[in-house]
Amino acid sequence: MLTKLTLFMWLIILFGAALRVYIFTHNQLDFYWDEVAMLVDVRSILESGTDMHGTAWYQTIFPSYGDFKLPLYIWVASAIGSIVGFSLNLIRLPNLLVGILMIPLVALFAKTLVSTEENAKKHNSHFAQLAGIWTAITIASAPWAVHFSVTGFESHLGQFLITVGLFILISKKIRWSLPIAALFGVLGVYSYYAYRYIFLALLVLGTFYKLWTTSVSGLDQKKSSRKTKTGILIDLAIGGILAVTLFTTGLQPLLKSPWYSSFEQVRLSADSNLSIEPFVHQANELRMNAGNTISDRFLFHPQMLRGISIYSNVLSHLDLQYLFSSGDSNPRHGPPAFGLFPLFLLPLLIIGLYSGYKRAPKALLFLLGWWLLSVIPASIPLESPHALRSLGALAPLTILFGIGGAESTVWLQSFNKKQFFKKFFNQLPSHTSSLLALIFVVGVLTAHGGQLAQYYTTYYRYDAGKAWQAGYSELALAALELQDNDVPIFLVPSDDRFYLWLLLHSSKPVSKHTPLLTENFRTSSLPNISIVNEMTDSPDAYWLATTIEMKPDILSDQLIAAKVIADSCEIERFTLYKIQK
Amino acid sequence: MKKNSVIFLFAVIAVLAIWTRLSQLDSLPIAPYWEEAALGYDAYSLLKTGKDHHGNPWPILAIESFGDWKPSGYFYAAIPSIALFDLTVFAVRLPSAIAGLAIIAGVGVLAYQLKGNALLAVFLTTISPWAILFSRAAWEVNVSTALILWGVIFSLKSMKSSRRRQIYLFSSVILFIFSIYTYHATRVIAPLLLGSLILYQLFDAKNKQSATFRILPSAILFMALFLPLLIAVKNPQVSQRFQETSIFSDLDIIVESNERRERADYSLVSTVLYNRYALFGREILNNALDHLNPQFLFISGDENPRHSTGLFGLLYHFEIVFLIIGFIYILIQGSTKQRFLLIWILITLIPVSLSKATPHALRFLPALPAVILLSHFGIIKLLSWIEHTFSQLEKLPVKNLALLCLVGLYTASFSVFWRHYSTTYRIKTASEWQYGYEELMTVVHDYRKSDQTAQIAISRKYGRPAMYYWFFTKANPTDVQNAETSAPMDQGEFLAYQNLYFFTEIKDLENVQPSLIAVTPAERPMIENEYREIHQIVSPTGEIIWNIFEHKDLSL
Repeated sequence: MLTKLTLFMWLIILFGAALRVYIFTHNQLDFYWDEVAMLVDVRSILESGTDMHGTAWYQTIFPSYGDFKLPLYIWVASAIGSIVGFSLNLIRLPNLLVGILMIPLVALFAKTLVSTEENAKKHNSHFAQLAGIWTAITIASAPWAVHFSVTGFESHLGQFLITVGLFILISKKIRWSLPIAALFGVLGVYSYYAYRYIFLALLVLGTFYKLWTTSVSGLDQKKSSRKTKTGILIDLAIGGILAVTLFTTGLQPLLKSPWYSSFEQVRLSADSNLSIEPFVHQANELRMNAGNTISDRFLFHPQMLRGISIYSNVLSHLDLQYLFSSGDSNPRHGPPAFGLFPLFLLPLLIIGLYSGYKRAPKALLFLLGWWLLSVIPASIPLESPHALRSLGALAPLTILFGIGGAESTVWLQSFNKKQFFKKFFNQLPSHTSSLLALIFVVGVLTAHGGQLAQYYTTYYRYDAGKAWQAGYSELALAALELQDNDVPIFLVPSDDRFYLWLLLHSSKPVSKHTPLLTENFRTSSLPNISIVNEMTDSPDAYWLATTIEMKPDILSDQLIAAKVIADSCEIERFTLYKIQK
Repeated sequence: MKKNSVIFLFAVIAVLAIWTRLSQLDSLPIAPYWEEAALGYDAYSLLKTGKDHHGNPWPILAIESFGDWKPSGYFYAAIPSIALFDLTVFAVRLPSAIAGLAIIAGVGVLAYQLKGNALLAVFLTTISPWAILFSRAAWEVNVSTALILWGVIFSLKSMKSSRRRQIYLFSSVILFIFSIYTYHATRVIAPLLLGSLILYQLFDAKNKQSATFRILPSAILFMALFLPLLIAVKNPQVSQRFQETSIFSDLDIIVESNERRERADYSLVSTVLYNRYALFGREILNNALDHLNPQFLFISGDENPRHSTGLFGLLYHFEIVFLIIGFIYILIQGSTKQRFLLIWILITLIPVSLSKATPHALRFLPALPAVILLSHFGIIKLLSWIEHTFSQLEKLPVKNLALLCLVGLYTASFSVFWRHYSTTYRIKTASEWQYGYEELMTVVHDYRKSDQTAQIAISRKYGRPAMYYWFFTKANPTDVQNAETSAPMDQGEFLAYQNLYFFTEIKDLENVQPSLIAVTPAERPMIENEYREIHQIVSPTGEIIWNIFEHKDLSL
């Protein structure tokens, strides 16, 4: 029979799922070029079993538009596509499923983490159950989790797999959980490459936590202590060897891919703190200004400055405004004017830190370590804080909120027993206080969910249209409609990846265009359509499409027709001119 | 710890405190900012004539300063030091430096009152970048913070002592009132802080009636002294600053509200969610959270180079750990008195979150004692946790090792901070502190001495040259007051004084034929044909700041 708390948990999952599905189906968001590139590959795989460049689908690195993508997300989307058929939303569907699955996963994670230590202290599991429920409430309502559930970023799938791996590691016997966790780690790396650095560290952290908490249980059961310790060591050795073997073997296909070196080069080309040169310049300037004494050379060391820069980026992920009010400054990484978490949950984070310290200090250290390891890769590039790159921190932070929520509930329940309130509530029907608290929580959640849903359906596409290449699809459709008229079309959309939209919307199979993708995996022309930066030479009659801001010099007697192309919000993005000399 | 060791450590910290607050006070920061020059000259004018440089006798509420109104407290605080040390940069900055020392002592006393560790608190305040920076220039807010801190101390003291209760309470009220007349934001902070302290006293008292009667005279005294400000609340002397800096003067929020509602066809939900008050609320919240941003607090501080060195935040990089532990400890386990620190920070956040340009290290300064004390409680809690957790390792002095690490960390960080502040910061921010005026005014003054009828023009590109002239030449305040009625002005700034002309554009000098003209390098090409360069003023980093030219006809 379902307990009240279990029923409530199901209701929260339902709420989170409904919120995600509603936003997914109603937000009318356009598609970012990474999503479009993956969509083209998915479409091609569904049509011919090969990617847009004609290579078999089972390759471990997809060249895409020259930025080289990992395969797992494309495979999952293709697998789903083979069942439900191809549509543009297909590229976001894996994340929608992952987003819904994350709710029970982190709830279970929180419950397991807390109960491990709670049981050791011979407490009942009520607190752990509450922690699970509050964790579910947090992730169900967090704009951070919702946003990446309705968009097609591979990082979201990656963090889900990593979380699954860690959950198995901490909840099952180490002999088998370690290799299974490693397997999920490999899958995580095949979705989002930044996890290659952190997963092994997370595995070590998780193992350490597991051993730490297991040894406590062992000490409690004095009789079996010696046996348990030996058994643990054997399990650790077997599990560790299997895990390392699986992880290294699992990554071999990726490392042996012909595109691997190019893939690495693209990933390392972004501006980051890895380059020491700017810090050397800064240190030299500081030293010269200070007099360049021996102590100055020590005090103003480039490595110290680099350390501060990385540290600063790590701290930026702790900014309360970022977490609770404004979120990532890039509108593609979250709805502007919303934080990663709803503001009303702020007290729970503070209480969660305290409660974790008091009730489950080992779990707290594990969660803080997990958070830190997830945030460090996001802190290496200069652009920070970054909601997408730090997505691995979603689960640990959410669980911290959950622990805070559980502590608050327990506190309220004890408050309820105090004489003054007892007198007051005894006059009311039984369970009134619980009912009032429940109504309050449901009310706040509904109001927040409603606000978030309204934002996505009414405002987001206006606020973030440009960040999602709004109008590109409409322009591609207009150009493709004119393609067969034998009048050349020149497109000046200020983006050399625009051909991806043409490939996506073309009625011809993607494989028909494969021979054209020769310019560093890209093309600037399809039959009758050319993508150019500016018009240098023009035929006697042609179509010209420019962004709405650009006003090409066209003589009035040459202009035959002009058509404005608007995006899905009816905001004018491009103008299509027909010109006859 | 042995008593002698404690006394020795206090003595070492006292020396460090005096050194960090008073050494090179006249040249670190490198030059007086124009507000310092104005503060100094008005105090000098009050000292010599009983009137400010505009001729207003003994202003109480505020003194006019370049179209703005500055609370009068600091002007009066500077009078004794100017009387002692003459009109110098040192004398103008001295009240703030003394306030800085009073803050150090106050934090120690408050730590003792709150059952913390006075020695640790005093040490943290002494080497705090935030406290040092604002103690070394003539910032009214620093004096105001010291007054608030001691007001709180006396108020808490009045709860304990039975014999001198009234004296302590009256002293507290007087200090709070002084703080109100010293800095704008404390007009909000001080009444709220005092109010919450009084409420605490009332709730804490066993006999509420007698407590009410005990507090009443002080409350009446506060209201009586606060009244002049309340009466003048719509007067520009009081309201102008608020209107200039308030977020409520920001029309963008109203435009956003209208756009949002229109986009949702004025639905009920959009009217509720996006009405202007909800959006103002969001703005206030963002401004408040800005001041809790870890990068602001621990990495780089305020964007304004006068408020921060750039290499350090308000606190040292690693202090985030102590602050978080201290905050959680005080919030959950702290006594009511200790929790007052959180109320203090919250109250300080009110005026700063209603203002534009956030985060703002200067406006947030009144929270400094509370923030440092939170950090200090964090250290105490962490050390006791380390001692408790590693109690099994009896042979290893874990707590002492942790303490040693802590002292090492602070010493290393302070060394980097001070070295950077006293070298790189000093010269890199020279332009922010209007470096060069002292030398320029010396040249101008010498020139005037040699030719008293000579007309001299000085560019206003770096701001407020007239005030710097009076400040550095110790101009007779009576002459300045007399010139007030006839001098052309721009937002209270003199554009001419005697035979000196202060111009915005070269073309403003059409009706003047100056013998001597001081221009910036950008203006130089416009006068080169008629004038001959006689002097250059160079910044510490080697850039030319001023070019001083003499008319070619004169040099023949």
